[in-house]
Amino acid sequence: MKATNKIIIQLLFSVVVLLSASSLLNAQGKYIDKKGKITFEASEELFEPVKATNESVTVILNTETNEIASLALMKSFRFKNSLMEEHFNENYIESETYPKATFKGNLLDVDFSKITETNTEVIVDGKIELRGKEKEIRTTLNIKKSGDSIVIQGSFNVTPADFDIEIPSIVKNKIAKEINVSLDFKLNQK
Amino acid sequence: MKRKKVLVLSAILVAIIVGGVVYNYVFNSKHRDIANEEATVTLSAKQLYSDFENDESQATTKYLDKVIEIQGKITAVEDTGLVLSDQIQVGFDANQMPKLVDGKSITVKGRCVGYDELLEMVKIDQATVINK
Repeated sequence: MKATNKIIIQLLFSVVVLLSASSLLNAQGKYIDKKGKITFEASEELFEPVKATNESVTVILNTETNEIASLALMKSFRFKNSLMEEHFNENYIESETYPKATFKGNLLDVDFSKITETNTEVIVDGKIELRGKEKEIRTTLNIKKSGDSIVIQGSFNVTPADFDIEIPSIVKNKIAKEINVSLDFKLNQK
Repeated sequence: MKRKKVLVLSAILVAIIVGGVVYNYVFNSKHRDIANEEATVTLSAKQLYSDFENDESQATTKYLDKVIEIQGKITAVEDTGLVLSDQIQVGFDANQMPKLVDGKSITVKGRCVGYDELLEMVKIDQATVINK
């Protein structure tokens, strides 16, 4: 009698453990943002701002593995000046041939159960692919919670040469050598 | 003498106007007005998706930056967009989001911006709903 009781208790215990483990798996997991925002700026003083924003960037984050992936369609970058937008697409990015930019990477040393409503600095390490070229990126991001969402913000610099983009000499002094890319994502559980 | 003066003055005036027009054209030219452009092709959401699925680069050449009309069933309504047939992500410009309900079949017109392999969807922006 005592032995069977013990077995039943053990069984119950393992069922409880299994249930809580699976609910943990469900509670965590995939976060997604379909309306992520990426802005890049390569403005030089005294000249017209060279700046564009994409407000429909896709971001997927796995809070169990800390993997993060992002995709921006080049045609979704909107400039204030329509002619600049045309040049960006046709002469520099060649968006008909290379319609998107992707990022795949990992967030280093982050425990999502410890992320609060105030910013935590997290290093991200990964690769950007654009115009058929890959570029390693390592930068610090600010991560915080906002209600049930995870907010990720940050910025980094790249150069046109990183992606084999040639800037013609006539516009060289109007476009900054370093391009600042800033990102603003708000991810919700899938 | 007077005639010459008038000629010179009017030449200067013309030069200023031409310069102004060129400057305006180069630096302030308007963005495309997708809502008032004629669609180049009308097709179903499923057809558009399968074209990208079969050959992405060919479909990109065919549809990228083109204004197209797409028929499909609404499978999700979001803040500033909707999903057609689980395959097409349609985005509306700020304050252009119409009131729509899940499950309704509609036709939208918009600009194709390419295929998003993370979402596994074809993306359309600057959309408007077509009433037929």
